[in-house]
Amino acid sequence: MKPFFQDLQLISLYDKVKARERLSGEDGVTLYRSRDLLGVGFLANLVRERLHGRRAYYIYNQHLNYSNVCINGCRFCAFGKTGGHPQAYTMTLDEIFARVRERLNEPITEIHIVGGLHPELPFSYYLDMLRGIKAMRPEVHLQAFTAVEIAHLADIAGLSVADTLTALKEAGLGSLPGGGAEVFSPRIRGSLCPTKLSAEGWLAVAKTAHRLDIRTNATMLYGHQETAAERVDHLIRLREAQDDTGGFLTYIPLAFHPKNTHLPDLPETTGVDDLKNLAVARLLLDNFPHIKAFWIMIGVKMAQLSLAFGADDIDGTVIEERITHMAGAQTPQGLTRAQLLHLIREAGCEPVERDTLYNVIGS
Amino acid sequence: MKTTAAHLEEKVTAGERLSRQEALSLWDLDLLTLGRWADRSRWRLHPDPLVTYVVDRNINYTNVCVSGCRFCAFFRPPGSPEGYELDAAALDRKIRETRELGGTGVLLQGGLNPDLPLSYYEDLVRHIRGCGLHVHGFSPPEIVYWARQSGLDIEQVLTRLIAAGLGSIPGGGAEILVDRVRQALSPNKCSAAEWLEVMAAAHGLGLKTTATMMFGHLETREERTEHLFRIRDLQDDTGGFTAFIPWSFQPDNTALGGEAAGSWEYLKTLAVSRLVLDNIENIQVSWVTQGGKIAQVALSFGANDFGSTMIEENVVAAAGVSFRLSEAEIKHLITAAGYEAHRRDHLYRMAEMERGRGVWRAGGGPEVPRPSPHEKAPRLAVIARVGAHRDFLEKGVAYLGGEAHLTPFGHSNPVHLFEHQGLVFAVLSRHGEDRYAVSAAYVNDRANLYALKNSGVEKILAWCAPGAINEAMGPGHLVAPDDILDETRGEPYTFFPKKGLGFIRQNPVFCPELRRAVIRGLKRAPFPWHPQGVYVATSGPRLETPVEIRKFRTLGGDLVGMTLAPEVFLARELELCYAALCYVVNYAEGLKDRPFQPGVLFEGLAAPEEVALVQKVEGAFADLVLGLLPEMAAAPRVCPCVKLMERYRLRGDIGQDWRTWFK
Repeated sequence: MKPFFQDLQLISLYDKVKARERLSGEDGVTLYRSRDLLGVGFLANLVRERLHGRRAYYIYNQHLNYSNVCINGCRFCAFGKTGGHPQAYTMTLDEIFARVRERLNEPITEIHIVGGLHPELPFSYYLDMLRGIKAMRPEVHLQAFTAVEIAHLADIAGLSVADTLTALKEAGLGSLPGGGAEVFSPRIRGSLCPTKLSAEGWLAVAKTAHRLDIRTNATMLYGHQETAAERVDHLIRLREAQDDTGGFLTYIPLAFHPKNTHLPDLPETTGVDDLKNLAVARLLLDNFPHIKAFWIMIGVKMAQLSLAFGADDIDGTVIEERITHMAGAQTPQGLTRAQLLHLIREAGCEPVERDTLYNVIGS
Repeated sequence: MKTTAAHLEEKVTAGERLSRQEALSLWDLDLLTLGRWADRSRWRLHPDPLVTYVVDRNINYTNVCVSGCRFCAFFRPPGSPEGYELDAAALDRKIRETRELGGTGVLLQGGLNPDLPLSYYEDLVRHIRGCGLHVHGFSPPEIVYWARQSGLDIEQVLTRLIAAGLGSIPGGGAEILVDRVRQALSPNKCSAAEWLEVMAAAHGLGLKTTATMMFGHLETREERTEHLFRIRDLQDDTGGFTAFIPWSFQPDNTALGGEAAGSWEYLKTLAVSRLVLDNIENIQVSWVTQGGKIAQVALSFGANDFGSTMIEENVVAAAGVSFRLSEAEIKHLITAAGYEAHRRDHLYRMAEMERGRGVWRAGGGPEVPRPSPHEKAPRLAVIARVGAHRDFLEKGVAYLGGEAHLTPFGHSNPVHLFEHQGLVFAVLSRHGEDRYAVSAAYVNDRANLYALKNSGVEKILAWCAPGAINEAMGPGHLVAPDDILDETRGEPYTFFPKKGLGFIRQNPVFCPELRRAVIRGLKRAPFPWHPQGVYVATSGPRLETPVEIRKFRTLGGDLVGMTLAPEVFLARELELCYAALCYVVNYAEGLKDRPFQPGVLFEGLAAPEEVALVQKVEGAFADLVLGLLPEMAAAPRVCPCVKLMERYRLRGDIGQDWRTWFK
């Protein structure tokens, strides 16, 4: 017997999902527009359980946002500041190393490093940063610099993207975070972040990294001015890139936070939209191993719920996250391991601590 | 038989009632399955994509409380320097703000303060009510405490508060309605039985209340389930709960402490509540404890109401959780989830329906008095002629208000509520309020009957004015007909077109118990009366031809009129008890030799002396009805009427809640 769907359009999608057929862009729009939230969640959960059972991954990591000085001036960003801004900051290498040193006693497996596009810092700053951290914590995986930062560093260094990545890899870079993808639509990029690396540029950096055996993540910033069709187009382009290289590990939908941005009048994303973005991604991105609900962005309660809507990863015990909190995120700044395990177990899932590359820790 | 998910799904799909054991096994199911089942129940109960909310304000008049519950971070013990009692100026400021924000009422709650007498609360209610706001106030623990304090019984306390203008009672203080848990959490608070007793008494006095559950502390799932069943059982008896609102314990700053239940457990509990409480219409989200995001998602897990704007919230905020939503944000969350947002009042009536109240003010009739503040559910109704409610107003019968209802079959005529010797009854004019505006065949019987049933009506007396086919039943006589010959054509005959429902046996067609009650009452009436008669129903508006009357007489007809069909048949589809009381207004065509007279009623069919007799009966209408009410109220519902749709219920074609039958 086929399961019941409030939205009859979901029945044919159920057949496709069951048959492991690839969903079309049109299917994606149908999913986004459906009022049957739990029907969409049910479909996403079929895929999630097929891939991961009831496992819920988390990571013990440390976030470092080395500088908020940024030449991009994206309208959706509350973090980036121009150089002379009173809230602008740039950490010295010593400050960065101090941050790492003060948590040396913690079982951190990943340090996640993201910053603005600083106009003056030399390429050596980044290389020295990676080398210095690796010297202190050789076992730690460095997930550092989004594709947008990589393209900027290539400009600064006067190197090709491939040579830049190679140099960074030699200095200790492990993988790239998925930020800066925003929404690939040229309409949205032209309106919200006209000076940012283009969609093609972003995808080119990611693919280059994959060819150099550097895994990367992918994201989409949703909940501002984008349409359902633009979201779907973004996902399809990621799916095509993944068909080429297979280098993406995880897709993370990022909820737009309007406070302190140039779009302060937009509402926060809603719970339904947060869950839809996870579920639709799980269904469309059939070649992505993991879908992550970043609890910093959507809150602990939503992150727990996301485990029923396609997500298999809820990030980690993140201490000191600045980018979203500058945009008024109400979530706590850190979550203990005990809290995390409680959340996962209440959701009937099995907590699995992972490293960056999804190797299971402690087993 | 072993309870399996498949068995449960069958029952849930059919809208059948769950047993305790079945309800308990729901907890073992996964979240999405439960949510999807609850969502189906929600759509069955509320076929329209509407989500309601109310604009009101919380007023916590005092935080001084002797109860000392371990889960509470709000209270201060008597004598504490942080204790407060709201002063008059602060209260008035809050009332003013509420009105400025378009609020229609207040949620009034406080601690069990030993220093305040019952008169304080009466004054408080009277004052707020006097400012034009509905008072959704207090909770069973407060009422029980004041009863003890004042030496009155619970009903006396409630009666005094109702007299002061209390409009409804929120369902707080229920926590978990199991005494083991209450002893551990809040030993000084009223017991589970007392909580239920207050609600039963309130419902008996015509007050609507909500019910709540605070979970996620010391209770087991068995106890959580038990809580739901105690609420469901009382609702079966009284029907007085408008909504159920579960929320999770917030541990910060409380003596109990611990981890808060997550969104997972919250949504699961919400879904189980929707599935178990098949007799409570509304399930409300708790955005105060869960935040806007989870509250919005909860609309897919069985909830259909977003609660209130609150304006201020102190109790949950004291436990370190302070979510805040404006009316605009609530509307945004509702519409972004794909529903229409509708404002409601504290009795869960939508704003559009309230606007319907304007209907009865229209026209040149007498000034209609303001409805008194308390709202009571009528069990009895009279459907009668144009402007019938005015007869009761003129007799000085206590008027409780009136409104047209928006039903799935369109707007009803206004339903006016009166109270006479403790009996609340509804009056509805079939053909219009001020003049004969709607001819018989075009009366929206379905909307009218839906509105009456929706108001709580169980028994209907249909007052109507046929002509006599049987010469023994002269003008001015009263007849309680016992059968009906349906010669109407074209009216909507059924609530269930194209649904295969409604094969209802029509013997006896009028409720035998209600008819007996009417006949008992007629014995005291100062008019000739007949305990039997066959009523022939025609469509009109034209009168009958002579040969039609001869035909009807041949077939056994005694009376001919345009009123009772399909009204009686539709009432029976709603399992309402329905009896008719006819007063004969003329002899039918051809019985007497009456010349055509232009420009008068029935063009001369009735002679002037007959018209005078009829007017005497019409003048006695209100007195007749008032005399019949106690008999009607006493009629036991042991008749077939209450089970007319049982076959369809058993078969799973329709659910327990009649409102879901028409989807």
